Amino acid sequence: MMARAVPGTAAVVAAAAEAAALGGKERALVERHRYGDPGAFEEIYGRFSEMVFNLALRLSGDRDEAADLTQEAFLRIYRHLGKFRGGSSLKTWVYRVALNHCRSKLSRRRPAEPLDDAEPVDPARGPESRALAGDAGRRVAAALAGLPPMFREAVVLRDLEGLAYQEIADVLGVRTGTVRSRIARGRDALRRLLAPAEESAP
Amino acid sequence: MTALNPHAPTELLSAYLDGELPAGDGLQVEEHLALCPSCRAELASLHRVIDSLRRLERTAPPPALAQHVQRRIALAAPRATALGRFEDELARLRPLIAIFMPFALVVALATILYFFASTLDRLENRGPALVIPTPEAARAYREPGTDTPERREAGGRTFVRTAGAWHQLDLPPASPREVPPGSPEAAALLAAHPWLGDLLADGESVTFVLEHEVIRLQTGETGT
Repeated sequence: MMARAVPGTAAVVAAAAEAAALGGKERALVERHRYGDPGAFEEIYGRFSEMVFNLALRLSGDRDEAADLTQEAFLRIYRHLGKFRGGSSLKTWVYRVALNHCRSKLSRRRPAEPLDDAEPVDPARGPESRALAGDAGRRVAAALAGLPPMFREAVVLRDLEGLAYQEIADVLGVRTGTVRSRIARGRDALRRLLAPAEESAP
Repeated sequence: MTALNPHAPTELLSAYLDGELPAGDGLQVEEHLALCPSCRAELASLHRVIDSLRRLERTAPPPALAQHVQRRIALAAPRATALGRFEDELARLRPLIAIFMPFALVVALATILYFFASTLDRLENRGPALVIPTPEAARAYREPGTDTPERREAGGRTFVRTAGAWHQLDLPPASPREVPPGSPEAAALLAAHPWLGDLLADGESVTFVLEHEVIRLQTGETGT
């Protein structure tokens, strides 16, 4: 019994140590920022800029808009980093700040687009879509842009950013059951939007 | 999977693909999939959707973006620091504010209600509007049941009437000498100082100082 329990225990201890070390690193980074070390924020930008930019790109569907959103989100992160208390991981916190910023800006810039199965998907939607390699990619990006924001956020955080359900729940501020439901409904909607293309494919 | 729906719900299949189902549910889904071609097809189509999403290119942010962010931060830094400190302070006090705000509101509301009620009460109990057309009318108004004594200037002195008796202001602390009414001294005083008669016309007695002496002169038997 002990022999079987030891590797598990060791793994848990190692994981806890790794998490503690990671948490310690993040705390140290935040502390350095609090004490005015500009290198700390540069490190945070380097670590999370690609992640925030892609999130903004998938939520806005436009490359230029995504650049603006990323810039403003990092300004907000800079201002509020001092408030980060380590209740979640720094990555989750950065996602939350960026997502909230995207939400507030995008809801002002254009009205929410309702999901309508009968509405054809426009493959040439925005410069970001055009930049994607291949028709399939364009279709998928356009279908994703056509999802209601609530489902789009959940699907993007799961399938493009690779977050676990619990992390997504932390970012969105909802229960994991809600995350599970939103992801499934988002994927189901995407499947129906992409179905004609799938059927016509050889 | 249930009596009403023989197939696995999409939500269950979607979470199964993510490895986010509890072990028992995962096992149940696997057993069902082994027997249900329809659910296997649904699982495969969900898998294709996920796969197509994961194949979307990740894009690097524009290289100039880092400089833009730095520039914006440099411009906003002083304000950000002050603002950040203020917001930190506000965030620190927020729990206290949340606790005390209801009490403060109740006290504020009670105070407002109290002043409102007392104002209403004052308005309701107030007498008629004060209109004093002549000094005589003012005297008549003040006389009954008011605390305000009447003042009058007479003989270069100031007199105050309380309970019908005139008293010179600032009388020395000495007992007045009573001048018997109707006496020759009383008649002489009234003749020498006509203002005493004026005062006695409106009062029962006058107490005054004459040549460093406090004198009390009464009406009635004076014949005035």
